[in-house]
Amino acid sequence: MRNRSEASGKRRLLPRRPMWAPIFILACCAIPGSGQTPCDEESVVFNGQSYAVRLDSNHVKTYGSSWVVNDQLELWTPYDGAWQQLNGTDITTEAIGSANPGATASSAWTSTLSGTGPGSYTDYSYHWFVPNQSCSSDTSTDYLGYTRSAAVAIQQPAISGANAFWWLGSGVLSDGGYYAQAAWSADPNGATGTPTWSVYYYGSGQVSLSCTNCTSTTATSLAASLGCTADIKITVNYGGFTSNPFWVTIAAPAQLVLVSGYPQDKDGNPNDSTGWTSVYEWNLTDTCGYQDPGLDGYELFGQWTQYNGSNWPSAQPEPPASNSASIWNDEMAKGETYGLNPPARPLQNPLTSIQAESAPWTFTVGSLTVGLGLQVGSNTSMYYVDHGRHQ
Amino acid sequence: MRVTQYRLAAGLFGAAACAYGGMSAPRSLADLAQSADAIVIATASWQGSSGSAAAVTLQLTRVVNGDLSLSGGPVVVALQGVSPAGTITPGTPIPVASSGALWFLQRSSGGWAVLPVASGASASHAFLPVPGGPLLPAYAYQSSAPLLDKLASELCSAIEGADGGEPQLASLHLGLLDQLGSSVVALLYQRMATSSSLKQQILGLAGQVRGGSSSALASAAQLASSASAPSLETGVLLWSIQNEFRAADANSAAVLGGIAASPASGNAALRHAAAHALAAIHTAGAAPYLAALLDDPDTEIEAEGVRGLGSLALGLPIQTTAGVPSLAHLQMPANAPLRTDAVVANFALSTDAIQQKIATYVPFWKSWWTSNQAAIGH
Repeated sequence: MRNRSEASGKRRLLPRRPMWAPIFILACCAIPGSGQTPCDEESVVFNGQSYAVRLDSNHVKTYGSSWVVNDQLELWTPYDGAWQQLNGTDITTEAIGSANPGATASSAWTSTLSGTGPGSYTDYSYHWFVPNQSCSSDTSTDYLGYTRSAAVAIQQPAISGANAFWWLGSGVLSDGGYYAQAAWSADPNGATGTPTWSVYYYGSGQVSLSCTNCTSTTATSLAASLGCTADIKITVNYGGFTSNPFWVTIAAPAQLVLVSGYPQDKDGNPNDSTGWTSVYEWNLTDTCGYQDPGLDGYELFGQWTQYNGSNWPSAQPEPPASNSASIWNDEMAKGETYGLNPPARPLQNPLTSIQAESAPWTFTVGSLTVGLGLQVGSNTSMYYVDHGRHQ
Repeated sequence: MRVTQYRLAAGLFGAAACAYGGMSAPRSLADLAQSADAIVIATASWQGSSGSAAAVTLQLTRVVNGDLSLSGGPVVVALQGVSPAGTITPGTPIPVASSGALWFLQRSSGGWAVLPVASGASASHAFLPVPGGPLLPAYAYQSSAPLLDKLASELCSAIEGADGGEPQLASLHLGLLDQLGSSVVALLYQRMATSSSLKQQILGLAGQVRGGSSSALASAAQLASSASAPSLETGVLLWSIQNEFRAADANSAAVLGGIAASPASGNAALRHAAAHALAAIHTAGAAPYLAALLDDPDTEIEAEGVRGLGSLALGLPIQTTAGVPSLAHLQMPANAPLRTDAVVANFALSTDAIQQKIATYVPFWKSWWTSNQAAIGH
């Protein structure tokens, strides 16, 4: 007497894998069974099983197998029809495999993950067995049914780390808690081997990597992103299976914005009660439009030009300084020092347009070292006889 | 008095810069307080100079903190980095400090040296102008009070007494005063906000705005919208709204949204500041107001709508000044349900960058809002 899983003890005569057919999901995907042998001198057991396995970082193989146990006269030919499914949906056509009686029939699909992507991969197979025509009775095909493999869950490799950091100018890696570097790590998420890092540019932002065939790398900014957009795409690749894009923004200090209400002019320079003082308050902002506290900075003057026979001694730049805030104070002042020509005056009403001297002026942040950092301000520093202006 | 190291002049001596450029950085008041061996209120006059240091005579009014043996008599202190370049008679009062100033002093091998409140060669960076008279009663303190509270009391009394107008004190409202973290500062803002002086009202409300008060924001906006011309005080208020107001509650978003959507003929700077803050906050509660900005005739306001909705869609954190060095506001979370390739492609933070593509961005974000407002809860 043969063993069958079905209670009726009859062979199931099903059309080939109707999609509406009942699906048998077994823990390890096998349907052992038995049927009446057409050649009843012996008992046979029909078997079918599904498998899914990740071959390497970029490939998943799914396959099904059909075979017969105790077919000592080799009267049954096993067939396996296999589909590969991703998240429960067919992503292949049916592959049909058969084998000689006594052997195992298999059919398989191998997907390249870089093409099919992450998800839950399974084999979905149908198993049937065809009797030898020499059998004198019971010549019907035995349809064992469906099996589905355990799922192989595929996740894309991923990148972790800061996706935004600073550009502070050539040679400046940090200043005041601002960093021009970021440490990134690749998470294989089941892939194997050493990843390869790739960088793609979609704007002006640029980075360099400390290594490109490694699990962890240090990125160093080389240029700021265009308009504070995420214009750099980073990926890691394990044997061809690529991570999700890791979009990176490189921000940078950008400009000095005059605080509304300034400049303020007043009589007297800070050291005596003569002359005048003009005060600016500048707010340092970045390419993203936000204020940047805590950076170092320094000013520079270019060649001074004297007007109206002026003998004013040229103003000297303040030394580089560290700031605890984002506001930079700019104080232009002149005392009525004896011998000045033209003489400095207290504030006139209206302010005079008589010029004494001027020079190109720049302001740079990101470093205390003159020559390093990013220029965020550039204009002409103009000294009138009764006030000063950046213009 | 330690004066021997200075060139005592019988007549005139070179005094600090009569021509200098002047970019300087304020120092943290809390750091100064911790570093100083003494904090005093004193009037000041020039004493002499030696090399790159000037000598200043301080006539002490009171000692806020530190070595009480200083109290009462004059003391000569070194002011490093002030470059004499003119002629000043010893004993000449230092302007602004002549009626009193707050000085941070540190012991040095030669006596006392000034810890300047800002970098640079200007004498005005050495001190904060604090009148030498008695404190306003509201700010009286015990000698046993915490250091930063005592310092805050001195500064707050001076600020309230000055009624605005003194740039050096007004600049404290641009972040430095708040760094003290003292309840005395909150008291100052509360008192000024109810002052009869318009300048004080604006500065007081601005302080409360920086602290996250939406009611102060509404009141300040009313005052600022009626201001006839830009002033130092309205400048502080605009800066406070734009850069420091980051309250994330629904009422705050509504107030900001109302200011930003006020008639274009009104105070443009105020509208811009409110729209900028709204975009920086970009909570779900702010979203309807951000979406409304997309119809504004002012492209800068439109850009804030794009900036805010984009930040929301990308799942970016609320922007704060404290988070700027780490760019916390640009760190994309691993899970952002509304983030799509199209969202990334239609996003920029820079106003200039947004304006360059405004014809593309605005229709995209209008459509995005229509499609996603239900998912966001509107």
